[in-house]
Amino acid sequence: MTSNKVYIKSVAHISAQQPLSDEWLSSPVVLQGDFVQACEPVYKDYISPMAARRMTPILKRAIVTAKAVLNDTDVDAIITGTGLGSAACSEKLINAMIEEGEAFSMPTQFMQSTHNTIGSLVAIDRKCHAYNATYSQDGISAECALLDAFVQIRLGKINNALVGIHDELPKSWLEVMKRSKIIGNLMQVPASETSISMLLDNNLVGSKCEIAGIEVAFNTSFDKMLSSFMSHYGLPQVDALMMGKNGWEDNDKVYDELLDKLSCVPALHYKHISGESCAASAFGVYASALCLEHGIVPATLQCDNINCDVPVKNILLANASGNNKSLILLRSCD
Amino acid sequence: MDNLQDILKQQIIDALNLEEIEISDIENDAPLFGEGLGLDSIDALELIVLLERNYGIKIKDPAVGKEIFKSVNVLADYVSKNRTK
Repeated sequence: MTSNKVYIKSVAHISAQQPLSDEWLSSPVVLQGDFVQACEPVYKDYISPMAARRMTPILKRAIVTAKAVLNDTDVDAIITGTGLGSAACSEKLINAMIEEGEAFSMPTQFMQSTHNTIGSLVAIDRKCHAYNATYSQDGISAECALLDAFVQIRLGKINNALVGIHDELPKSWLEVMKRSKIIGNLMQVPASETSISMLLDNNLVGSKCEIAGIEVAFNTSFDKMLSSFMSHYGLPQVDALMMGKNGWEDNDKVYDELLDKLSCVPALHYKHISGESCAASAFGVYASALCLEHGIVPATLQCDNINCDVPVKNILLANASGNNKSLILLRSCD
Repeated sequence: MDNLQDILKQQIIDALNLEEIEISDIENDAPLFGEGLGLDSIDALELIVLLERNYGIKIKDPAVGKEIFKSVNVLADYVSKNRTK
């Protein structure tokens, strides 16, 4: 049953939690330390060693999560969101050039040192020659990629899209964040790595939830965004508010105005589960989609252990990353 | 590992990230590209860099590259005759 509505059909993740699994819903891995690496699956179960030999971790994660959500499905678009892209590869290339005085090139690292590498490689692996775009907008790269797919499906230009949101942490970036005390001092959750692939489709059958609206904005307040969101998508019923809080006061206080406006609905969070990264908000989308699919909000996602006794049918996701903000409304398919 | 063939095999394995392959898996006379190891054009670039970095050999003529990468034996012979370090 196709429509101009947009549904999340399937999701797969490789993150700080058990890879390619929803096990974290009942028994989440407790994140400790300043930085938690992604928990990797056994890649040779999914990619031949010869094919994987030139792939950096972020590329393997993108390929494997894409395979997990698509199986044999052909897609009309491959859209990627990544804040730092293949920065770890660029770092390796630049370090080698510094150490060896620019005497030798590193062909593989050179070729893979772009943000577009991820989406391109997924397209090559899928033999997909359709629309392919990459969004790199810091911590709202996920929302920008989802917005592209959302608009194109709503307009009827495409029927489905693979949306991949991938970020890893290069050593130099981690060092800078530690020196600036953002990691290990200001933020109360560890930095981490997240790769999530989602299949968005206009067919309701077998879907986890509907994406009912997306709004991204720069340099504005959540208060103003909510008004704009309502004018675009009507007055949404909201049963729960999923926030991208990470425990850093400067980051978290921007959610206060939303909490005031939506004080009667349960507040949810996820970054203590996913860790913080440019792709972390995608984990919020994934977690919310699971809540709507199963009709329950696990205790681990609830702020202050306030019970969500009422059935949750609509979850509003709010995410702030510097001056970038986003709102996404997810709706149950029931 | 005491001969140039084995040293080259290990360097090829390391440079090309051939994690599943061991020195004993590579035949001295087996083709490196196509059927044998199944290497491709990007691997060829990596091997050219390997020769320059480890042996001071600069491959400027593509025809030479095509010839010397035929097998480990051919490569070892070329390296022993042309190395500058």
